[in-house]
Amino acid sequence: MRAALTLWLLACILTGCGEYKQSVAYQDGTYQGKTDQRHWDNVRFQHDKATWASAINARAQRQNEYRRTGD
Amino acid sequence: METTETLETSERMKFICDVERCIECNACVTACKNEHEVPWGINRRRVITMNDGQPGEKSVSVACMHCSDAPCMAVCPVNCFFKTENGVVLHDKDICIGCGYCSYACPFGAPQFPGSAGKGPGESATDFFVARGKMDKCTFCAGGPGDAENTSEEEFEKYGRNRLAEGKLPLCAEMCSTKSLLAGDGNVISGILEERVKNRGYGDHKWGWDMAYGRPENAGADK
Repeated sequence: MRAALTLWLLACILTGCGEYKQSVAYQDGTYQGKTDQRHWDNVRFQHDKATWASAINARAQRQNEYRRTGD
Repeated sequence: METTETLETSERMKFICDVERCIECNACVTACKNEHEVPWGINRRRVITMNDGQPGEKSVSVACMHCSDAPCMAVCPVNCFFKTENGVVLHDKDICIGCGYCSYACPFGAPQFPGSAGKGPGESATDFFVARGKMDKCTFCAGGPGDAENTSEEEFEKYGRNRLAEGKLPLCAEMCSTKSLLAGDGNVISGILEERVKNRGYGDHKWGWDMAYGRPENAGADK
């Protein structure tokens, strides 16, 4: 009787070891829409990313009043 | 879809709102609505004020933050979201089914649902639980998928103007009178903010309420 009880108790304790990860592993979906054109894929920027990036960064610096006013 | 490697090595377009400077003028909201001709009742950008009416209140201009790991992209059942090479989160309205999952997932409340809402009797254009149209959100003034020439009327009606293709930044930031809202490459605008904070210091005693209405050392000077 005691052996059976011990076995039952051990089984109960061991069930804790059988725990598995319950959080869902997210897998990235695949975009289903139409293909995007990049911002520099036009005549203005001659399809050159560097030209576009330098234009955007120069424009971003105009938000910096310390550079605009020279203070 | 861009790989993580590509995103790490290229620009990531971001917004920063300097809460020490925002004066809740809502010019960013108005500029956005006007530039993109956003429907009535829909705001792609909003100004949130904390402790409104109390000394030391803070305002922050909020729109889609173009998250690096965007939850809207994760929950979309039809995979209509994509991220451009420079980190702008966009979606294809031809694919969107208007389910609203992105709205629940977004921590900033960016997704909006214009269209059929508000057209039925007793419905308001901002009602959430009525038939919804395609999701609409801030595009970082990058239009939608396609049309880098920025000439298509159809594209404009769906997504608004594509200013990035014209070498311009989002109008909300360019219009900001106090330059509280900054937009551009994350490294560039964080550099601007860093330079600003180094020059002015940080905290209420350096900028904001106390500066405008009297710091302790000036207390009584205007009485």
